[in-house]
Amino acid sequence: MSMTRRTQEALASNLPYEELLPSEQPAYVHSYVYLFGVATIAGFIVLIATGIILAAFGPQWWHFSAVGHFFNGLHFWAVQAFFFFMVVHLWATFFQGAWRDGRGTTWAVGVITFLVSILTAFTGYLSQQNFDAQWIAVQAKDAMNSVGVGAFFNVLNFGQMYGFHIVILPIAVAILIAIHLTMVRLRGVVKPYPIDGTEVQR
Amino acid sequence: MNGVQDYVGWGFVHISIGNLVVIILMILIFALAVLLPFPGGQESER
Repeated sequence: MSMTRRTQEALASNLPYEELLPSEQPAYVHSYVYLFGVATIAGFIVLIATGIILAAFGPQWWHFSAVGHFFNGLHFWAVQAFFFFMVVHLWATFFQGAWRDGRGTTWAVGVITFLVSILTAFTGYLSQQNFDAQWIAVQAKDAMNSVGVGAFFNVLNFGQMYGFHIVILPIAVAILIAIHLTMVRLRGVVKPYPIDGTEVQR
Repeated sequence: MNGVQDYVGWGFVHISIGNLVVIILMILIFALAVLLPFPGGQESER
């Protein structure tokens, strides 16, 4: 069997189309508490869109023009929404025990996405091109040096931090979100804990 | 950003007003999401 044929069959058996785009959800998903994950993704989409515009026009534009200020503000408030909803999504999945029934990897990928997002936000604060960014960089260099990464992750190097912020880390977050979503779709939403609490952890 | 933050504190807890407001809002939104009924008819179970 050819490699393309094997790939095709593996995708068809592991990623069935009806599981990726379901038209129905279990009855227990009928609650606002299940909306925080998609709200986080909405925030991420706004971040990418406004980030592309900011990257295209550059720091002079986002600091000294009215439209630049507006898009800078959109990018800033989108990241507030992104982390706000991601943390509430974390609370929701924690109290649902969303790692149960073979969903441990989904939970772990979510945790990694959270950590990489923090690094992305951090490099974003370093990329502002203002005194705030300089202050954060000068403070953060000691933390980076103390854990031994300062030699190849130099927070005082604007070009490097900007590159991390607009290329490497957003791609990493996008890939992690894609993996996380695919896992959620393949395994479905975790069933609620039984009311009498008799379920044994599997 | 680029300004002095106002802080509040109780004992060893020391937090900026901005962070405190965000945490209170998150707890409020989470509680509302759990308590408020979701509109529309229930979808059938797969």
